[in-house]
Amino acid sequence: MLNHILKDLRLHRRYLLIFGFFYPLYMGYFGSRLSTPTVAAIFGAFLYALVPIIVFGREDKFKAVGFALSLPTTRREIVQSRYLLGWLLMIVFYLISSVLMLLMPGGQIDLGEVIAVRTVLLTLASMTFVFGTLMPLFVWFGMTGLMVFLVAMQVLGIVFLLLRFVVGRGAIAIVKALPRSISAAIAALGPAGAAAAVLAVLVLVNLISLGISTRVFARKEL
Amino acid sequence: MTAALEIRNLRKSYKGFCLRDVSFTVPAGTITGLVGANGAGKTTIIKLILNLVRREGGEISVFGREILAHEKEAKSRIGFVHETPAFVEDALLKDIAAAVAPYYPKWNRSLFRSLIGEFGLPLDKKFKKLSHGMKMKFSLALALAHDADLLVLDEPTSGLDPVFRRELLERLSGILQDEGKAVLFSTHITSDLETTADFITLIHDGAVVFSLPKDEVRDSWAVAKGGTELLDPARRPLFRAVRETPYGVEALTSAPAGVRSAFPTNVVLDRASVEDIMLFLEEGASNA
Repeated sequence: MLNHILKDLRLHRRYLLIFGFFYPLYMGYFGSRLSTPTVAAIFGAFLYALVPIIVFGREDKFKAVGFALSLPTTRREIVQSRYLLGWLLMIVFYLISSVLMLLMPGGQIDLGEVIAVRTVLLTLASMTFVFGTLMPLFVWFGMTGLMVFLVAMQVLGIVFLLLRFVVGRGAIAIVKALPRSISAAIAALGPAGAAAAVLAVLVLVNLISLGISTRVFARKEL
Repeated sequence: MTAALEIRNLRKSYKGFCLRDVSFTVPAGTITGLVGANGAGKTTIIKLILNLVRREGGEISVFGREILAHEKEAKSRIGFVHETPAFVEDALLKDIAAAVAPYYPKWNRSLFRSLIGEFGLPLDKKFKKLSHGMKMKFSLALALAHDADLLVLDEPTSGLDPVFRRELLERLSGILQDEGKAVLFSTHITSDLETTADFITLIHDGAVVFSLPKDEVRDSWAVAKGGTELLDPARRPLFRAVRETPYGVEALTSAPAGVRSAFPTNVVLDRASVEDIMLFLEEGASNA
C-alpha cells in the first residue's frame, strides 16, 4: 500500500505542490477574515476533499489505472491506498491552512478556536461527508462522479425547498429535530465521551465508504 | 515441462462478443504467440490474465498458482507491455521508473539503466513527449528490469519500425536463455511468429482454434487446391473453410492425411501458414 501512496505522490507531485500552495493559502486568508472557524472548516473540508479526487482523476484521465493494476498489487490495495492518501492530504492541507489562518495579518481568529475539539470534529465530519460520499461515486463513475455529487447536492437542496413550500415549516422542524436529538444524546455522554462517539461514527462512515468503493472497484472493467 | 501460464475454460462476454472456454498453456522456456484477427479476443485474454477485467469462469494459473488467489505474488513475476502504454502522461520517465521500482523485489537498477541507454530513452523527458515506438521501448524496459519470469506483451510490435521490431523479437528470444522464463505475446502480424514463436495459439471469434508447437502447425494444417470436387458435400467435413477462386477451389484442412486419401488425384496439398489459416477462418466467418 505504501508503494501506491509513494507512486501517487511522486507522479502527481507538481499538482500537489500547486494545490498545496494555493488551497491552504486561500483558506488561510478566507478563514482569518471570519470571526469563527466553523464556516472555514466546512468550506475548507469541501475544498480539500477535492484534491485527492482530482489527483486520482488524473490517473483515470491518462487511463493509467490499468497499468497500476498490472503491478504486483490487488484492487483492494489500490482503493485502500487511495483512502489513506486522501486523508493524509486532507489533514496536511487542513493543518497548513489552520496555521496560516492564525498567522495571517489582521486575522480575527485565535488559537483556542482553531484547535477547539468542536472545530476539529466539525472539520473531520465535513471531510468525512464530502470525501466519504465522493469516493464511491468517483470509483464508480470517474470524474463524472464529482458531477453526480454536485448535482445530487443541488437536487437535495431543491427537495428541501419544495418540502418547505409544500408541507410548510413543520417539515423543516422534523428535519431539524433529528440532528438536535442526536446532539442531545451526544452531549449526554460528556465532552470526552461525545468526542469519542463522534470520532467512532466518523471512522464507521469512512469504513462503510471504503467498503462500498472496494466492492465497486472489484467489479470495474478497466 | 513446467507451465509458466495455464489457462483453462476461460469465459468472458461483452455485448456482441464472447470468449468461449479458452484453454491453452505457455510452457516455461518458450515463446508463445497469441495470434488472431482484430477483435478475436487476444487483448481480452491478456486483460483477464492481469485481472483488468473480471472473468465469468475458468482458471488462470501463473507458475502453478491461481492468479486471483495469489495476485500480488503472480504479478510480481509478470512483466507486462500494453499495446498502448499508458502512464501518467505528464510525468518524467525517471519518475515513472522510480515509482514502479519499489513494487518489485527483483528490480535491477543497473539493467534498467543499460536498457534505457540501449533504447536511447531520455529519462528527463515527459512520457507524453515520446513517440509510440519510444513509449513501447520504455514500457518494455520497465517490464524487463525486474527480471520477470513471464513476459506478457499485448501487440508489442504494432506501430514499431522494422529495425526495432526485429531487435525486440531477438531480445525476446534472448530472454529464453534462462529456461525458467516464458513469453506470451499477442499479435496479428503473423511474420513475427515465424521468426520468434515456439508455440502458436490461434484465437478466432473468441475461441481457440489451436494451440500447438509452431512446427506441428505446419504439419497439421494444409491448403487443398483443386477443382469443384472439393465442394462435394459428402467430403466437406474434411475442411474448416472453403473458398472459390478464379482458378479453382481452395480449402483449409486440419486433416491433411484424410484429404489425401479422400482425393487421391487432382488435389494439391500445400502447407498452410498461420496467415493462410487466419485468412481462411476470417473469410469463412464473413461468408457464413
